[in-house]
Amino acid sequence: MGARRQDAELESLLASEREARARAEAAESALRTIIGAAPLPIVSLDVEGNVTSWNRAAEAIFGWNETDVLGKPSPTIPEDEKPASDAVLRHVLEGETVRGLRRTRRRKDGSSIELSIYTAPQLDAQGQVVGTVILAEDITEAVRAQEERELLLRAEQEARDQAVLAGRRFRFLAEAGSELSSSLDYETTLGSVARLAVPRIADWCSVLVVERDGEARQLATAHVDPAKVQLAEQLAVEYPYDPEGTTGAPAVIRSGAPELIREIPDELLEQVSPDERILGILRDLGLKSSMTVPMVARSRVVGAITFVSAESGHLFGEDDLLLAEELASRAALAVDNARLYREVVELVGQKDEFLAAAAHDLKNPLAIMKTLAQMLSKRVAREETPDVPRLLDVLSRIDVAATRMAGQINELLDIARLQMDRPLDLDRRPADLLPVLAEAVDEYRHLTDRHCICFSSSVQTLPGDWDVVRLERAISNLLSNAVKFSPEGGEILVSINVEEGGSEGWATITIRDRGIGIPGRDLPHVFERFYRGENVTRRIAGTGIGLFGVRQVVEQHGGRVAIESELGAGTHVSVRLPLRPMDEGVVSDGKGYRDEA
Amino acid sequence: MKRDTWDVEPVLVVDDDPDLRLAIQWALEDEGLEVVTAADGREALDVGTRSQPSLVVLDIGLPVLDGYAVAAGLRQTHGYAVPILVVTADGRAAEKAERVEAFDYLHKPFELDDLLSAVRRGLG
Repeated sequence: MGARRQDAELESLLASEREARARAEAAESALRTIIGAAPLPIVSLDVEGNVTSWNRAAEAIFGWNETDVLGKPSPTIPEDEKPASDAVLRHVLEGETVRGLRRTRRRKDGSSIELSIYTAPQLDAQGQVVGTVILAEDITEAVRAQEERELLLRAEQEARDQAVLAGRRFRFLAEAGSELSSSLDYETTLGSVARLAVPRIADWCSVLVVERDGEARQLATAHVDPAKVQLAEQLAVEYPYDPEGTTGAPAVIRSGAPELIREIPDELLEQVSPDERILGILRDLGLKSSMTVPMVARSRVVGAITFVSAESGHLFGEDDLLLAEELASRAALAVDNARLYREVVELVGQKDEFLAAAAHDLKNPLAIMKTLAQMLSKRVAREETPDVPRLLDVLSRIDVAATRMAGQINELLDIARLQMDRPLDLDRRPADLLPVLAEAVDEYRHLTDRHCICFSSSVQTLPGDWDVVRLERAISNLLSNAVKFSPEGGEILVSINVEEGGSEGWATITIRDRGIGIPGRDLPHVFERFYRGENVTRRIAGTGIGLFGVRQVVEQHGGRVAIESELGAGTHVSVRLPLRPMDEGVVSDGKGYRDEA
Repeated sequence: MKRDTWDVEPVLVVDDDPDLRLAIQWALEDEGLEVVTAADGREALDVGTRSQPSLVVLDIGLPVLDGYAVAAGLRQTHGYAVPILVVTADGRAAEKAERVEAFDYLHKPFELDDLLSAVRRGLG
C-alpha cells in the first residue's frame, strides 16, 4: 500500500510537472508568437552585448536576418554611438530599466532610423541577470515631422527678425533722410547722421568730406561715449589724414568702391598704426569689424563714411553694407545740393557786385560830360567872346567821354553774353594789330607814372582777321591787370613775337609784370567767370569777368591764353593768335564765329 | 570875366579817372581856384601832406591806397584843418562821408553848381 501510494504521489508530481512544463511551453510558445508577431523590433542581448534573439520586426525594419546577427553585437549601432550604447547596457545589466531612450540607428542599407528604445534586464530562474531585452519603436516619421516643424518655426522667427531689422533700417534711413534735408548746412546734418548711426548701425561712425580743392576733411566722429569721441578727434589732429592710405577712407575716396572688413585682423591694426602708441590704443578699443562707403554724387566722390563695430561684437555683412551705401548716397546728395546752393548764392552775389561795379563805371563818363557841359554853359554865359579853341577842346572831351561810355555799354553787352555763356558777336576784318597794341600800351603809359611800360616788337606788322575793338579791350584788360596788380609800380614788359609754323604763323603777345602775383591755388581758376584771386578780393576793385572775357575773345580768334605767376614775384600772361598774311586780302566771312552767335 | 578870387592854398582833387579829374580841375579853375590833382591814394597823400591843401575833393575807391587811408593820413598831418568833400559813384556816399568825417558828399554824376557851392562852403 505504501508503495502504491508513493507511486501515486510520484505520478501526481510527474503529472503536475508535465502540466507545468506544458504550461511553460505554452507560455513560451505564446511569448515567441507574440515576439514573432510583434510589430516592434524586439532584440535580446547576452551580458557581453551579443545578440541572442532578433524578431521578425527587427529583421524587417533593420534588414538583417536573425541568423546574420546571432552571437554578435548588434550591427545597427553606429561606431560613434557605441560607447553610449555600452554604458546603457551596463546600467541595465545592473538592474535598471530604461524607457523611451531616443537613439539614431542604422539599417543594413545604410539609411538611418530614429528609435525610441525600452530596455530591461533579463533574469534566469534564479533571478540572475543573463542579458537584456530591448524593444524599439520606429519614431523616424515623428522625428522628421518635429524637425520640420522646428525648421519652419526657425524660418518664421528669422523672417520676423528680418522684418524687424528691415523696419529698423527703414526707420533709420527715413530719420537720416529727414535730418539731411532739414538744412543746407551739411556740416551739421552729417554730424547728426553720424550720431544717429551709433549704436544702431555701428559703435563708431565717422564722416569725411572732400572739399572743392580736393582736400579731405574729417567732419564728424560719433561714439556713444563722448570720451572716446574726444580721443578719436585728438588722434585725428595728431595724425593727419593720409590721402595715400591703403585702407579705409583714403582708399575708398580714391577708388570710389566700398570696403568691407568683416573681421579686422591684428595685422591690419599693425599696418595702419604709425607707431606703437596708436597700435596700443587701437587694440584697446577692441575694433571688430569695419566698412567704409564712398559718398558719390554726380559721379564724383564727395566723401566717405566709415562704420566700425567694437563693443557690440557685431560683424558687418552684405546687408549692413547695402544699408551703409544707401545712407552714403543720401548724404552725398545732401552735400552736393548744399554745395550747388552755395555756388548759386555766391554767383548771385558776384553778379550783384558786378552790376554795382558796372553802374559805378558808367557814372564816371556821365560825371565828366555833365561837369564839362555845365562848365561850358557857365563860360558861354560869362564870356562875351568865347575862346573858341578852348571851347572846342572841352567839346571834344565831352565827345570822348560819350564815346567811352558807348564803349563801356558795348562791353557790358559783351559781358552779358559771356555771362549767359554765349560767344561774342565778333566783327573780324583784315587789319594790322600792331598799331592797335602800341596805342593801348601808350594809353596805359599815360594812366600811370609809377609803372614803366616797355613795348617791344620783333615785327613791323601783325596782319590777320581781327576784331580790333575786342582785341584792344582784351589787351587793355591784361595791361590794366598788370598795373592794378603791381601797386608798388615797377616794370611792365609787353613784347610781340611771331612764330612761323605750319601754313599760318602765330603772333605771341606777352605781358609780364613784377607785381603781387597770383596764389597757386587761384591760378587754375583765373579764366573762370567771376573768379577773383583770394589776395585781391577785398583790396583791388574789379568784377572778375575780365580774364574770362579775354580768353573768350582770344579763343574766338582761334588763339590761346596762358598764365604763369609766382606770388610776390609777378605774373606772365601770353596770348597766341593765328596770323594771316595781309596780301591775301581776305575779307572776313565771320565763318565759325558769327554762326555760333 | 566874372570870377571869384580866392586867397587860399590849392584845392586837391583826387580821382583815378583822368578825364573826370581834368573836368573837375577845369571847372574849379574857372572859379578862380588853384587846383592840384592826384590819381591814386599814395599820390594824394604825397601831395596833400607835403603842403596843406585848402580843401580835398576825394573819391573813395582809389588804387594803391583807398580814400579812407588818404583821409586818415590827412587828419594825422593836418588835424581837421583840411575839409574833405567826398565824391563817389556808389550808393553809400553818406556812410563813406561820415567815416572820413567829410563836411559833405556828392554822388556821381553831380550837378556842377552843387560841386561849386559845396566847395565854397568848405572854404568858408
